[in-house]
Amino acid sequence: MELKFLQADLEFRSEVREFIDAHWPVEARSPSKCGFAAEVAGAEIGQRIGELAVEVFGYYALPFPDPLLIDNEGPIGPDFALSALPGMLFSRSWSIDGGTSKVQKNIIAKSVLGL
Amino acid sequence: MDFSFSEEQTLLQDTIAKYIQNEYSFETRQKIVLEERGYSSEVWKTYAELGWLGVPFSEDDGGFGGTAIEGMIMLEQFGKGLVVEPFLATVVLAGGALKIGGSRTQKDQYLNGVIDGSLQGALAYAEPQGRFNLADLTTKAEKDGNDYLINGYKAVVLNGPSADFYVVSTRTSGEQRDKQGVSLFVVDANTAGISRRDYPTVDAMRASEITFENVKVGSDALLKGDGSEGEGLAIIEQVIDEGILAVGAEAVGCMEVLYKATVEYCKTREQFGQPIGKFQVLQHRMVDMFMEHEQAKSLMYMAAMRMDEGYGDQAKKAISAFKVQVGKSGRFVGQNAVQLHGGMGMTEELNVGHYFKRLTTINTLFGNVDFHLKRFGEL
Repeated sequence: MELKFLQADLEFRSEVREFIDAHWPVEARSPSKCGFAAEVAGAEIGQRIGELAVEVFGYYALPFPDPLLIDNEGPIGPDFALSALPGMLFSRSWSIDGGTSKVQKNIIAKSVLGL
Repeated sequence: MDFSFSEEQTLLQDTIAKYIQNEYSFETRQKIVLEERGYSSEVWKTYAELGWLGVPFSEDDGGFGGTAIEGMIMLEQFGKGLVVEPFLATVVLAGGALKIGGSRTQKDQYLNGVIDGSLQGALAYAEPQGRFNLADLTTKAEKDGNDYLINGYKAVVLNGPSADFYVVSTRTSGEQRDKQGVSLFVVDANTAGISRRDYPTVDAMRASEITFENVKVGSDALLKGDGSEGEGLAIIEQVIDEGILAVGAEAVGCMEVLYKATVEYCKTREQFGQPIGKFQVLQHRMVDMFMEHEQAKSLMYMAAMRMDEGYGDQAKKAISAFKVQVGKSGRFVGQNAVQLHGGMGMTEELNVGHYFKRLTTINTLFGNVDFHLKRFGEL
């Protein structure tokens, strides 16, 4: 049940994100402004998806075999489970690199909201 | 309510804290992780010599008669040091199952070895289809004369590679998810018919997938406590709840390290001409991290006290509440510690990411936030 809510939440937010992309260049005087909003929204959605993947796989999010030792026995647990937790960890960088989300928000506050 | 520790409890806390500080630095831990077993046998021997492995067991069982509070104190310190030695798997889970459900003979056979450090154990309870439901079992144990034949598959068995014995949950009767018909067996790891596939986990622990194929055990291998065959669910539920208190306390220790490290970092890291800790946005974030840690710590005390009052619905509820808080707080503190450390927080070299990995694993172990919120509501 909780997973369904989470999934719905994500679908909804992905649509918002797409819509930001779609309508900003038309309305905004400076197209670059949409980039800042898109980066913040995009990072958050990507991170939430990473968390969802970890939740979905339960215990099978935990195995982390040495890639060099993977043999013809196939993956441990369901397909794609192995990349769930490393993917979630990596997604944390999306709100850091290229200027943290906080820096992006500062820019929006100044240049978009005029604060 | 009196939350102050007794003299012995304070001493235990100080001893472990000092040990971690002097002997178990992050650099040492990172070297230990690379050892073949994934932990240090030397360090394990030291724990045994210091008496730590016997703390949760009664004096009759050869231990020191520690309560849930002592266990909590130990694991919180282990959490701060990000200790990889299999205390959880061997002492809390496998040892805990014997403590709760073992006969005198079974205890004599295994617990002495656990306490003196010569035996490693593992609890094989999870199955691929079962998610966090302890009763969802396809592994079967069928009567074969006076013996049992175990057939089935167990997933992500912590400490599986090093264990000398397993405590295995099986179905002896009933349907796949029935509460009745669950039986636990203690099985030597080298029994014929057991095969393993070993691997490390994300948080640098070791685990195994274990297949049981016509594994023959005597009826003296059945762990039944005061009950009889098919009444093992109550035992495993209690063991897992003790496990939750243990990993939850570990998480509280991890969170303390993380929020303090983050505050220190933000005081020294300069950007835009001042330490970043001067920015209000970051200050509020760190205050939130501090508050999350404090809330989790408060529920930890409550859960430990309820467990010591006797194992029943009140204790189960407290444990589930604690696990929910640990899951939420751990995620918040871990994510923000990484965020505020910036690019540094993403690296293998800095300890922050390693604490975050452990917190993430702990959120999954024994049931995540959703699972325990539901359990709390139903109790």
